[in-house]
This record gives sequence, structure tokens and C-alpha cells, in this order.
Amino acid sequence: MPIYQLKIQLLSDTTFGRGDGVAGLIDQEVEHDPYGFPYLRGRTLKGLLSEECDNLIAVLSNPKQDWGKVACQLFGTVGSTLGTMGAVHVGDACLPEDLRQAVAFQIEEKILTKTEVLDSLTTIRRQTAIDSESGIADEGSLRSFRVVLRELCLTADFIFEKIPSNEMLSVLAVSSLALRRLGSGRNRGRGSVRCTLHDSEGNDITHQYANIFGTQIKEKAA
Amino acid sequence: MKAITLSLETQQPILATSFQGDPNSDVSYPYIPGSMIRGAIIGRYMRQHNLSELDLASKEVKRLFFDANSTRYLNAYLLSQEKHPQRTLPLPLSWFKDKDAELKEDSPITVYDFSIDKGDDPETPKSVGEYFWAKKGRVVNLYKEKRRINIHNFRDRQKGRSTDTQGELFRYDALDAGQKFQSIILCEDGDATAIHMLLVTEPNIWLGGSQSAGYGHTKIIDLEILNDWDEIRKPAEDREGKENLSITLLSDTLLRNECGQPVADPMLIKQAVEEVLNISDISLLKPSNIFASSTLIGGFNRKWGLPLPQVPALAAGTVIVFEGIEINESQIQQLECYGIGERREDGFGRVVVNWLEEKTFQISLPDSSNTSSLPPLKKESSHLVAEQMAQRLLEQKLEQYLQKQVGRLSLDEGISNSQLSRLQSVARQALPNGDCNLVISLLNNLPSNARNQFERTKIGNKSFREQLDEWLGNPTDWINGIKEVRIADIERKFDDDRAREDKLAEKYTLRLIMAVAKKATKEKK
Repeated sequence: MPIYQLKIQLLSDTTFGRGDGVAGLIDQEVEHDPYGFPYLRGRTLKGLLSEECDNLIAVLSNPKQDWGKVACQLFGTVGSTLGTMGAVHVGDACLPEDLRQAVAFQIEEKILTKTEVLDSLTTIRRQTAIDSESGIADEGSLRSFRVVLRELCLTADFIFEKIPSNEMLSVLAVSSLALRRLGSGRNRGRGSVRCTLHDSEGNDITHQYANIFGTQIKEKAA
Repeated sequence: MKAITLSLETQQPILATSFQGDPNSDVSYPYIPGSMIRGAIIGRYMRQHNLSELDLASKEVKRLFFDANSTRYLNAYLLSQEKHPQRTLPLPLSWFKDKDAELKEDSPITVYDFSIDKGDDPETPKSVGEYFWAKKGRVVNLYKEKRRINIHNFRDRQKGRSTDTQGELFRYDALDAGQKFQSIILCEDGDATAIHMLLVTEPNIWLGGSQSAGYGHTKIIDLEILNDWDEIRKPAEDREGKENLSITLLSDTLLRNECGQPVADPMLIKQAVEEVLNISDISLLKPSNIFASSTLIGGFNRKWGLPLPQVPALAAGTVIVFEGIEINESQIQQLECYGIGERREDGFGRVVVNWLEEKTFQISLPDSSNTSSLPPLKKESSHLVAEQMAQRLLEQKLEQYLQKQVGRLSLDEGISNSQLSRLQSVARQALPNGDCNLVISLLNNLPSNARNQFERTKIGNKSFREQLDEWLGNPTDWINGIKEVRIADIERKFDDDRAREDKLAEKYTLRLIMAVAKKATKEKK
């Protein structure tokens, strides 16, 4: 079963929101596992990649339909039948497995707590809205949100049941390159990321397959 | 008839949706349904044979997937946590405990089986709850599945965000990753090899909903073909010839009444047993004890892309007892092998006869103590992250200790705000490099009036000057309440080599001085 990996390097502090907060402390909490490690859900990641793929294909001229078919085969189409399922299974983007296992052991031995783990990988930022006339903070506008600290690198597995075609991998590669912002506040400085596609041996194959995409577009357009 | 035991370990959460929860929630069953396993094996069969459609006219296809008398895919229940793990079973509804008895690890409580004998104890009986169980020695251990709840929202594909018409928040309450389950596939002798080959070729299998997005990844960790298998690990010959006939449901059971309507009526079990055994001896008898519950059954058909019709069913754990009826070994085997009711190929209708014998026994939660050692870090990137975590954790602990110290200390009257401000200013200047000499130099070159102020102002039972000299001379001395921080195999202390290199103690000492001075200034105001 071929497995590829997407490595997501956080270039700025990022909030993978989970839709709720902690009353009295944080308005927006990040998604984290039972051991306090932040992660990006596979469902969210798949949606982000699929969106970038759609945006790229929309600007193509001649081979749009062909690439559209490849994207549908890769990510699937709406519906829950065997025929509409995508070829790729997108896993959660997590921190290294060996580190998570070691810390999980320590939490079970009560050497560490989940809160300590979360606090060591994240911090809390606060912001207010500024009144445009008075120039001071709007009353009641103070909000706090947790951010995952920049420079961390998360890895998500892409599992295929059959060997994927070069077209599928090239679509995945360009979608990864196109994915530069994710999470909450992505248009306000947070969530800047760099994504790279790797094979099962850890080799970076992003540009190799992105070049294939470019070459094929040129050939088909010519 | 052969049995294939199939042990599964969840690598991602599994979404096996039941009818619990509100319309915006998908709540999983506490087990992996047999229908899900059957569906996954059908998918594998189609891929292996390069089929886009199943040939329903094929005898093999019919036998393997659509004939309940030939092949039955049982539910995958939790595996017990023992050296030789066994498949747990649903708790019988006839088990009761005392209302105030609390279930804890290593502290067994007494449970009473009312289907055997409903005595005077306990005075205030309460149902034990929804668990799975397995026997370990003389004690029954109870197991409960772990769940993971995630909240998702529906985003418009084109706009990339939720809109006025489409933006529902929904919740997935799924079986968590890292758990082990075991299913059994009962099949004819000739089909065991074919099914085994379908499963053994690839250990990774996807089950349940949302498979392409973070749910459903499971690994087959063990596969075995058995000639002689018993669901309750107690041979039928030991259970024949009993005074009463008790029937316990080991899975949800779908039964229809005489009008053909599916109903959750425990009395229908009697009719179903009569049909399977082709006897009418029990038709005149009424049950002496019934412990029953009902549930709603549905499912999803991936071929149609549509949900299955919802029907009521008897819940697993239902117990019905008939007095004064005997049943022989072959009848017990037939009933237990084939089950009763509908959708038996999906694991519904599993029954066991004359199973429970003890009126009272002890139950407990399994021991969760970990006897393994700390797993080592294998990658360089993991080491880097662990070091960053340890550094931040150490700084947080220092920060907390600093706040605690500042709360405890206070300066008496005798020093002017201008001197305190000057002290803060020099300390702030020294902070980036942790250079305490700047502050020492300031203190050594004070004019006499300023020097007197520092000497006559008390902090605790010492002069402020004396205290400052102590802190600046030995920056690590006041930080004595902080234990080492350990993340995986990375250990950090406030006075280790790296901390000395970063001048961590010096920086926090300067911050302590700044905080004490600022606090004194504020208190004067």
C-alpha cells in the first residue's frame, strides 16, 4: 500500500480551531489530542488541499476537464458510494509519532500533564477591535486565542490502496505548493505554512511532480 | 463450519454511526458492526477480481456475502487486556449491583444475576451499565470503549467557507484510535481459505464513514482459522440438560411478528427458537424472567449510497428464561451456530443458551498499570521538538516560581521611587545579555545618600542592599524549589549546561529585582 507524506512547516503562529474554547480563559482553542499535542484534522487538510486543487484547475484553459477528472479520482466527489470515494486517504497532520508515544507514557506515569504538554507547544494571544473614530479598543472586544508556535513541523500520511498515477501525484504536489495559509486568522498573519510532499523514504518529491504538472499543461495546451 | 478470528487495531478513529445523538451528531456504536466488516471484505473481493459490480448470480458470491446460513460476519467487540486477550461480550441485562457500589480498578464489587435467582439482595438494585466483559480468573473485568469527539463544519466547495444556506456544525463521536477489537467470521469449510486469502494479502483496511479524511484506518493484527470455536468458550455439552432454558442475546436481534412487522418483543425469541429447532415443546410455556431492552437498527449501503430502513430490534444482552424445559447439546449448537432473526450475515441474532450459572460474583475494572518502559526517540526532528518543549516548560516553571517569590517579598519604606526606577532601568538594560555586573556596578558606585537608602530599607529581615548583593552574587541560590523537567529522554534543569550558557538564572534574577522594585513603586502610589 503506497504511503506518501505531507510535511507542513509552520512559518507563523497558527490556530487549528476546534470550534470551542475554555470558558473564562480562551475564546478559541486549538485542536489537540488527549495528550495535549496539537494536530490538524485529516478532514480539514483534505478540504484545504481539494480547495487549492479546484482553484488551480479553474484557471487552466484547455486541459481543464482532464485535470478535473484526475482531481475527482484523487479526492472523490460528493456522496457516500463506492464509486465516488477518493483514491487518497488523508490522515491527521501530527507531530512525530515517537515523541507522542514517549510523552503519552510519561502522562500515564503522571510525570507530565496534558496541560503542560499543550502549554509547551502553544501560547495564548489576545487582541481587541479598535474603534476607528476614537482610536481606542472597543468595549467588550477583547478576545484570546491559542496558537501553535511557529517552526513546528507536522506530518500527515497520504495512503493509497493502489499505486497512484503520475497525474494524481502531480495534482497532489501542486496543491501542496499552493497551500500556504490555513487555520483561523489566516488573512491576519496567522497560519502561514510551507507544505512539501515526500515519498515513503522521506525524499522530497514536490518539485519533481510539480514539474510534471507544468510539462503536461504545456504539452496539452500546445 | 469454520471460524476465522479477525483481530483489528484502530489506527484512526472509526465512525460506525448508530441512531444515538441529535440530528447534527454521528455517534458511533461501541463496537465495529459485522455489516461494516462484511462491506469492507466485499470491497476487497471486488478489487481483487477487478469487478465494478458483484455478480449476484455467482454461487460463490451468494455464499460468501448474501447467505446467512453459509457465512456470518460477527460484530468486532473489544479485546480484553490480558496476556492472552479474548473477545469480550456485551453485558447481560440481568446483572445488577447495589445502587451505591462504585466500580473502581483493583476494588471488585458484587454483582447479582437476577436471571438465576432474584433474592433479597441487593436492597436497591441498579443496572451495572453498558460495558463489555471478560472473565479473568474468578473476577469479571468490565471494558468500555474509548471515544474521540470532533466537531466539523460544512463548507461550500466553491466559496471555501460556510454560507447562509450551508454551514452546519456537526459532531463525530467516533471510536478512538489505538484500540483492539475482534470479529469472527463463521463460514463453510470450503470458503474459509478464500476469505482468509482476501484478508491476509493486505493488513490495512478502511472501515466506516469519512474514510478518506482521517477516519476508518484499521490494521488486521491477527488472523486465524479455527475448526472448533465457541463464542462463550464453554462447550455445549456442559450446558445441556439444565432445569431451565435461558437464552441470552450476544448481539442486537431483528425479529418480526405474525404480521411481518419488525418489533422489539422478547416473546418473539420463543417463536424464533421454535423455528430454528423445528420444535413446539416450548410453545405452551411462558417465560419466567425477561430482562430486555430495545434499540433502533439501520445502516448505510455504499452501493446504493442510501441509508437502510430503520427498524426496532432487541438489544444485545437481553435475557429470557423459560422454566422446566430441557434442550440437548445438538440443539444448543444449532441455535448458537446459526442464530435467530434477520440479517444474521451481518452479525445480528447471535444467541447463547444456558450461559450464566452463578447467582453472585465479583466484577472490577481491569488493571491499567503500565509495565513497559519509556519508548526512546528515534528521529532527530523529535529530539529537536522535545528540546524546545523542555525549554519552554522550564521557562514556564521559572515564571511561576518568580511570580510566587514576588508575591512573598515586599520592601519596607525608606527608598525613593527615583532610586527604584533607576534600579529597574539598569536591570532592564542588563536583561538581554543576563549581565548582572551592570547592576553590581550601579550599586557599588552609588552616592552616599542613595547608598544609605538601599541600606536602611528592609526586605524581610535583611537590608535591601544585602539582599541584592546575595541575589546578584549567587543567581541560582533563590531558585531552589524547581524540579527538573523531562520530556521523553530530554532532561532540563535551571542550572544545567545549556541554562548556564543562556544565563537563565541571571536573567530571572534581574527580572526578580525589576519585579520587586516595580511592586514597591506601585504600592507606594
